[in-house]
Amino acid sequence: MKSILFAGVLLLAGLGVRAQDSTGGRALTMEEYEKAKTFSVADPDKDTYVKFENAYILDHNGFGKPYFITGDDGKKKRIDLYKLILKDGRVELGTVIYYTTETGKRYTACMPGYKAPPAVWRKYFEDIHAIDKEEQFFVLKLSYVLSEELGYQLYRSGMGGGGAVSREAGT
Amino acid sequence: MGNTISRRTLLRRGAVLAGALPFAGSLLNPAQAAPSVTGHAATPFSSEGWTEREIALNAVEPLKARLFANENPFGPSDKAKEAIMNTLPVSYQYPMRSMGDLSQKIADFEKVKQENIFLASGSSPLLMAAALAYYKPGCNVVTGDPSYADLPSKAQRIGAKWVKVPLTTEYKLDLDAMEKAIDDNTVLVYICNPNNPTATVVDNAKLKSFCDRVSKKVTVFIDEAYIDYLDDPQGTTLIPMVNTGSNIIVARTFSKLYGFAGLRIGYVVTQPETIKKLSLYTEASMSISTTTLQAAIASYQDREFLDGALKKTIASKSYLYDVLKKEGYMYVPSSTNFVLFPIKMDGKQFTDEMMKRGVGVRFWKFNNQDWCRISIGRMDEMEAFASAFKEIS
Ligand SMILES: Cc1ncc(COP(=O)(O)O)c(C=O)c1O
Repeated sequence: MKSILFAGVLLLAGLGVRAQDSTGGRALTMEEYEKAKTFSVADPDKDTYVKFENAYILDHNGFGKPYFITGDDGKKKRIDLYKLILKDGRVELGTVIYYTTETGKRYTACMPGYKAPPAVWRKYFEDIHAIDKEEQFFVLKLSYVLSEELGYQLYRSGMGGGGAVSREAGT
Repeated sequence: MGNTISRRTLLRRGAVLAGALPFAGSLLNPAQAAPSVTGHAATPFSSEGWTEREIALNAVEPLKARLFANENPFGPSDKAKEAIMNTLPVSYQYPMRSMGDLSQKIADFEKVKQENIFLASGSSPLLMAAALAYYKPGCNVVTGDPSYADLPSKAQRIGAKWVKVPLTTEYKLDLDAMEKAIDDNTVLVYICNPNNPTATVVDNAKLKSFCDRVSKKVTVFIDEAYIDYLDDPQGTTLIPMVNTGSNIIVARTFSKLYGFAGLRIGYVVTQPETIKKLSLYTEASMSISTTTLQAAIASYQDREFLDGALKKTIASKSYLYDVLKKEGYMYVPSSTNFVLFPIKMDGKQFTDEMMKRGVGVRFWKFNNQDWCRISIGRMDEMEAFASAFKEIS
């Protein structure tokens, strides 16, 4: 009995229990894109890892603290980022963005992963543009956050992913 | 949310992306399958997450499932509890006589002499004493990797080198490689059987012949903390080798199947001159309380209690196996009261997410893989684990 189970362990290990390439060759589909926008995390301060339909995961770990942005308009917005992960194979499909206004209204966007088809990207641009028409400076404030994240990711990959790469290291 | 965790997670992802190491046959990466030597304050070969103490101090309240310290929640036995109550009125007395009563009981059962037994408040003080007693400048201690780190980490702290020998592809101690790793500076070989954290056991005949050969050159320390969980502890223990004069130290504890982790009592069985050597470095006997001693005497080899605890452990473990299989996880088949299984996310993140849900477990990192070690608890604790695990599996 024991050796049978053990064989099971080894077999799975052979297949690789962890996604080696976190994009896994699999990209966000339009259907998933639409679905992801409906995924809601109740409390971003507490809910750092949440499963949906036992098939997708929203994972806040890796994104640090929430961003708070107050622009020239003096209105404080909160932005929380979550990785959208396909549970099967731990494939990173995109980034879900929760944008909470000073009145508590929340807008949800889903930035596709790099490999997403052009149609999904186009839909994302249309969607954030549409939100921007309703919520003034949405795209501008989002661009601050995404710029900083891009800066951090480039810095991290420039460091070869080794050593202690802290978000504060560059400041 | 701590920033450190986030960075580490990112870091790991980066490393995995860049490294893309294919797994061959097992999670054991051939590049690591050679002994590594770490000196003082060097980075350990495999790494453990928080220690049990750190987890306990940072645990949420109330904890639904305490599954991080390999304790036995079915103990101590009623006989032990009764003995403690009965002993309280005389607990102003030093336990001089009862010490001998316990060691005699153990000696009778194990068929050794009383002078071969050295009691202490748990086996930890004796692991420490061995690390101190055998140290000499330039020395090294050979262990499996990963294995129970207490003795070698203490030896390392005082300046010894820690030679870590990777496990076999079956996650067992690699006795052949360990024997090869011994050199003129080796002062101790530490064998944890069953091994913590993998819960695996080495082949008995192989271990005996290993000890036969190796103990002629260097002292072999065999830690049998979890041996009571095996089907045949008496057929597995190396205690009989003490009778033939072997240069070995066999450590035992009441902390596991007896459920005495908080009561604190353990012992080693070895040669009288070895006891003399160890006793220079530990208070040992004078650190044991009267109540604990009487509890140990009352429950030693209490088969009814031990078999009951074993049965409940097996039931909880089989429930755990089912949960893991259902969620598509594998595990290293366990011979003890804990199970090691590979996880699909960063170990620290995993244990943090579990702790948020009231479940305390530990993680390890080795062979380019993150692992969870879960102790076997009561069924309600295993159910709490299952529901938390389903949320993040
Ligand atoms: C292998 C091993 N040896 C020794 C100990 C220490 O036990 P104690 O000091 O409680 O006897 C432990 C505790 O977890 C262990 O796992």
